[in-house]
Amino acid sequence: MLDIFQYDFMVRAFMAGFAIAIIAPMVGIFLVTRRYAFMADTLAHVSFAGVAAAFLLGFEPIITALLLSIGTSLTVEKLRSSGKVLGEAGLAIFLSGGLALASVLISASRGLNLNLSGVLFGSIATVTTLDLQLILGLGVVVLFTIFFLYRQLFAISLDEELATVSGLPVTRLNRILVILAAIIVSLSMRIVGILLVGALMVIPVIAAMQYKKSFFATFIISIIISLFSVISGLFVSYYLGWASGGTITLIAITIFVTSSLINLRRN
Amino acid sequence: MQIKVENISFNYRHNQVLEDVSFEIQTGDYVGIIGPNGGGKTTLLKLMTGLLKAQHGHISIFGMDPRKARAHGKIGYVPQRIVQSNIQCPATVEEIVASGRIAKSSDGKVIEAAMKDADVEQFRTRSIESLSGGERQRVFIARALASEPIILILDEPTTGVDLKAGRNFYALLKHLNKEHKLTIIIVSHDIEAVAKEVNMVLCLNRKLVSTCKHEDLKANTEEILKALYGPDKNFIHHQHA
Repeated sequence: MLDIFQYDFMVRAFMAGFAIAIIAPMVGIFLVTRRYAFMADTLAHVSFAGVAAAFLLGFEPIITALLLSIGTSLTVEKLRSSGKVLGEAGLAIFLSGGLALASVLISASRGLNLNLSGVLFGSIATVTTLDLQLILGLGVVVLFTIFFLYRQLFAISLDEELATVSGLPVTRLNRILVILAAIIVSLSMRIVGILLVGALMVIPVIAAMQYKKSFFATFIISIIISLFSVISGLFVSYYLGWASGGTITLIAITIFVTSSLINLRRN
Repeated sequence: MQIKVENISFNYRHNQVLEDVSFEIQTGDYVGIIGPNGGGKTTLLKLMTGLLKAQHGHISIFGMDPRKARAHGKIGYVPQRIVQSNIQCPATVEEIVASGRIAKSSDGKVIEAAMKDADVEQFRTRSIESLSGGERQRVFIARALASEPIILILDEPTTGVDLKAGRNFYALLKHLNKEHKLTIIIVSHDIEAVAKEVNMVLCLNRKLVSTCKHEDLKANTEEILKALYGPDKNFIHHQHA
């Protein structure tokens, strides 16, 4: 056995990373194709506020981040669908607001032991048993939800108006999609960090889109790219002592650049 | 009676777009809706598809509210901007057509038939972004047909499509109307083409200015158009080859 797996925290990190690498692009593809990729970053910044609040109040960080993130995702979606605030403008308000709230809470919790670097950039050593249980449990929920709603989510990605006239409950499906995004963002922050959580949902998808295949093929390719980025990123991060989030993101970007060059050459 | 529109009025805030519009459409009708920009054509289609709800009046499709009718897959719809929009979704023609059957159980034979009817079988594995405007047009018709609708509603379907593709497109609609007994409602700026193809014309400029058979529109084109667009407008005729 590789010496990397002698440590329990590495086994937990790999199991969590494997699960997140599968589910992140599965939801990310529906956000990217609807030009809603910014949603993941917004929810990540709100999750940061959730983590800071948890440290201050003594709650479990991942659960606080999860609840705050789900609440925000539903509020943003309601604002977007009502047409009162433009989608991106609504996201910008919550992104800045989340970061602002986090900074205030962190300054208020001075003296408490918050591993800021780990929260922001990911730290594989910080995945707890509770985190892993939540990641695997909610990961299965995300997996089954996408499995059952794949056709419907594809239809609304293509065009919301067409999907509505086709008889789909578009509002309900949109809510489910943003809740799934909120769950993934909160679950991923231990591995990739809050600042890079969006990368895992977006970069593998846009890299896969470079191959100009069908939607389903793009869906599968993005999962493969994500898995490769996370697994290889965790190895590199362990052996070189680099931040896991940054390493994983840089690998995903390298794959995106390579895919774009292959696409350019083909055309 | 397939579609009954009774005393419909609709405002966008303080801007009245439709005022007391009423008409009836029978099964198998091929209806053209013409009128100036801002005359309420697209709003009327959105009310008929249940995308908007009228502040006054009532619309029924087979005696049902449009929202209920669309939930049963009775309405096929091709919106105005879909052909020209930059579709970011990496989808093949086959995937797009199959998505039209989303509210019903997936049926490969119906999807195949829809692609055949709209003549897009040969593009099935191609991405939508690689197709021309006319080809995209047919893909979205096939998508609408995949739900086996009874009514097909199209908003400005030939905008941005070249003359030949436009001609082929109208031939396809005629075929669907005659052979499949599909009721078709089409909004178009191309009055000559509409007059040539449809059997009933609704002239709409906030109010329903007139409802006429296509023979009446042909015989009294100038008169009807002046009533619709205003007496100071000049009309230049063109012929579709």
